[in-house]
Amino acid sequence: MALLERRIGLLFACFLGLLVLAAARAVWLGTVKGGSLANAAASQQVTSPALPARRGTIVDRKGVELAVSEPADDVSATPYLVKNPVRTAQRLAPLLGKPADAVAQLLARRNTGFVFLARSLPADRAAQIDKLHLPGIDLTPGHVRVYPRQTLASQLLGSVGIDGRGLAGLEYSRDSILHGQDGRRRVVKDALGQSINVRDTKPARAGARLELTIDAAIQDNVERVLAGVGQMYRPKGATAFVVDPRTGELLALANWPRVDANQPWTAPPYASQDRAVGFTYEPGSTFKAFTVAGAIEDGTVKPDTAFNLAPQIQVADRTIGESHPRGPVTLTTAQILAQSSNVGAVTIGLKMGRVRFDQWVRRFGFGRRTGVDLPGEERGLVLPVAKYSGSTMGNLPIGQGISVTPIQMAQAYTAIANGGILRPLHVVRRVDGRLVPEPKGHRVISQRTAQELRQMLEGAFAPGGTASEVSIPGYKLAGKTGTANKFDTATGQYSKSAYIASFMGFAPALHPRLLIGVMVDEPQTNIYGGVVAAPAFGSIASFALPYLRIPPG
Amino acid sequence: MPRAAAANAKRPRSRTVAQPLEYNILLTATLCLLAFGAIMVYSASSARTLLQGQGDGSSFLVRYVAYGAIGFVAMHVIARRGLDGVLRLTGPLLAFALVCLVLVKLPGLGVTVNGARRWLGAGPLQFQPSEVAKLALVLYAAKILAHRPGRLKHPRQVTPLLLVTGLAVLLVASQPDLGTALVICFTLCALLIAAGLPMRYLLIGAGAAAVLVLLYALSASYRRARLTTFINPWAHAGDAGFQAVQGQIALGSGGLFGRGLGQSVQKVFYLPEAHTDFILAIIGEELGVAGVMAVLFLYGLVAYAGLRVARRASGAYAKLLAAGITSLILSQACLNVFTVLGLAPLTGVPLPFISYGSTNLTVLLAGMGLLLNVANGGSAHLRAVAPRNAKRSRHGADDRDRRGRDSGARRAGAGRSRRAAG
Repeated sequence: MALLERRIGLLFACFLGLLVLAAARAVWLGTVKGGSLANAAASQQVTSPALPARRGTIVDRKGVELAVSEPADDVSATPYLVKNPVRTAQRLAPLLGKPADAVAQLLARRNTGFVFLARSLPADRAAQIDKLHLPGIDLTPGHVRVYPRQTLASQLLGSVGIDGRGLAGLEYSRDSILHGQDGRRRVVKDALGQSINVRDTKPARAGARLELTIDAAIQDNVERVLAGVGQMYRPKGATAFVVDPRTGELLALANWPRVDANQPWTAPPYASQDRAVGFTYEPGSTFKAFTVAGAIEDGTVKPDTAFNLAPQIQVADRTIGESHPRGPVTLTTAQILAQSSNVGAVTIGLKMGRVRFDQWVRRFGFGRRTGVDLPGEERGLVLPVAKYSGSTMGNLPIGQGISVTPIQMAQAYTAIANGGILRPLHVVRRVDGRLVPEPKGHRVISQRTAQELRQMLEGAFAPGGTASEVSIPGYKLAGKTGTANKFDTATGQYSKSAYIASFMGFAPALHPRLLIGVMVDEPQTNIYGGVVAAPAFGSIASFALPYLRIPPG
Repeated sequence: MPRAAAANAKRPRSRTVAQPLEYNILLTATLCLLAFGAIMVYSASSARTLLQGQGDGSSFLVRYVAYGAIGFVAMHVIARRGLDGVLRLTGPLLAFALVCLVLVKLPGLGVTVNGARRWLGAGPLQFQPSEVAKLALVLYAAKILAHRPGRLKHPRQVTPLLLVTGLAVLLVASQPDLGTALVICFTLCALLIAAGLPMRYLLIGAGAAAVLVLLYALSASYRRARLTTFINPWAHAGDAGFQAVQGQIALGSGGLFGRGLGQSVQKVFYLPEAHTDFILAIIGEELGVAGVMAVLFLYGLVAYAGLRVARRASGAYAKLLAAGITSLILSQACLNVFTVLGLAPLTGVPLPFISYGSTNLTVLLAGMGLLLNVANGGSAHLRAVAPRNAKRSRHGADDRDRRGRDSGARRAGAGRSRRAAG
């Protein structure tokens, strides 16, 4: 009996030892190994998907929606969790809008744990998929960018990639404020991938609402007019803008050919580009206004200074003539502008001298970016004085040998229109309802010079002017035509067949409320700015002036 | 029958006497474990059954409570009845268990679950013969070891016991149910230790058994895989080590105080057998190391009180019976705990009283009834009765009466000794 009791004591010692060992192991697992085991648990149980923030809406100055984000889900599958690929595919296919066997093929890929079945599926259809409760099928919430006006201002607005980041246009340049801040969600899932617990650890902050200076009605009209130009002259492309010169606000900025913003990938790169900022060209005659502006401001010439002009002028090895040959004439400065005399403009340029001339070109903002809030802006090319050749001063005063962007021309003409203040143009008016401060400008020419220039530019619409066939009853118009040979980089010569027809004008001439520019790239049937571009200016102005209730004058 | 009635009439009087401390500890520990079991079985199974669309999630709780209730009634009945009846029933019970173990092998009779043919019967009456055999063998071993005159000096003296046990173990192990077979081996080992078998034989026996178990473990590829994955489960986390790894993840991610009751994530399809063999992992995840400690403490209490009962019991049979049943519970508990904690390869035995396991729960509660019976002073005069046992079986009423008297005296004795101890 004593042995028995001793042995029972031994048994107790054994069991106690085993229990203590187990307890020690439990403590070891719970504390020392606890962290790594908890990590292992989290890595298989918890996912932290991003909660995409709703991208800010882009509206025009009247509140018309130009770009909106709508809820849409990505549909993905974990193939090895899908019980019956064929049946699942049959049920999903109509909702995904894909053939059932294509879906089944994706679901049958057993070598992967993830396949996308559809990206950015509209929320209503995603909700129907969710209701099917198919194992292995996951929905990732997101948004799809929709452009309700399709082609309207599509190059200006740009596009958004599938990851919700802006790729071009304003969507790209203003991505940081449009995108908002993505949130984070914590989802605890069971081993079959079903959510047990969903908690938003960081709420998503929606992007800001962007109100543009663009007026959709004017924009629409400009695009129609460009489409008309496109149909009539079969150009490579055309760009036009409408600016309020008092503020520097862009009321319209259009490019032809049109691009459907909802399907930007269908357009060739040339069409998708916002050529107002990304396209450089030699401006030609429209540039003469700055030659004259500088000369008047310097006092080198006066509007009524008369010049005896030969049919041609020789500068170094170059002979410059008029576009329509004529005999010797006497023209005033104003007439030189109105009739777009090459010989006259070169004469004035030579009178200024290369250094003064170069200073004026730069004062009007050429050769550097304007700073307009659009991405991809080109700088153009302005030769430094040191690199001038003998014949350069035979080119520059008439807008050759210098390359500019449409937006640079718009900015420089704005200074003439608004009384001499050069100010970066802008396209964003309000961010989340708060007015964006207008960019500061600086004076480049005096009020008086600007006024004299405007008066001189009225001449283009007067009898004998280059745009004399364009008129709007009740309104005085001012402007300058341009017909420039394109420089052919292949031959190193000015092309004899490729031109840029352009027109820069404002209305009403005395107190301009609108600055309108039209650039037509390589028109086919006619090349003259007065024929191709000036009527487009007229159409746009005749819509915009009454639309904006601008009194005749 | 009038005498039986008289015996019953005596009971309320005898129950006014305070129960011994060990009795109270055992009963309390058992009740605590049962309550814990009900809560954890519900917690570990409800989410899963709900998600699988099997009722309202309480199906396992209901069945656990039902089998627990049956076991509890059995425990109470056995705790009050005498041990002589148990002695008489030992033979038939063992025979029944062995026959069932053979029957379960027969195709058409045995029910296969998860590739192992362990079940007999149908519907709610389904049971695992191996569990019955477990208890029957403890009763049989206690009886044989207590019956043997003189000191146990050589295993030869208990050859029939070893043969019967060996047969049962073979039958159970070939189901296959290595876990239960091991529990039987450990329990028999404990009984032989208690019975005073010299240590050298035990060590030799243990060595031989270890070799056999190793051979058995290596004889089937899935058991080999279990053994290799035991050494490094994380290297096989995707397949063979999956359950072990998921169990440790559950336990470890609970930290010291757990995620909170009902908050386990691992129970939702990550951890297989969350409400049965691996329920400790869910306890660890929901209640942390603290919860695991509480369970271990309760088993410690059972070990302490059960073996104390064994020491204080009168007569070798009662001593060995108490020691055997305590060892049975503790072996199973330790094997399960070690498995879940990664200290032993996967074997698959339920955690006593806590895991959902119908036969196991009922059988262990019946065993606890025996232990309580002994704690309450029950004994059997084996030497005096056993030789005449078969012949006197018709005089059961007489036995019962005398036993009642005996047990009354023991109770008083136990009470005295406790006071003396105090």
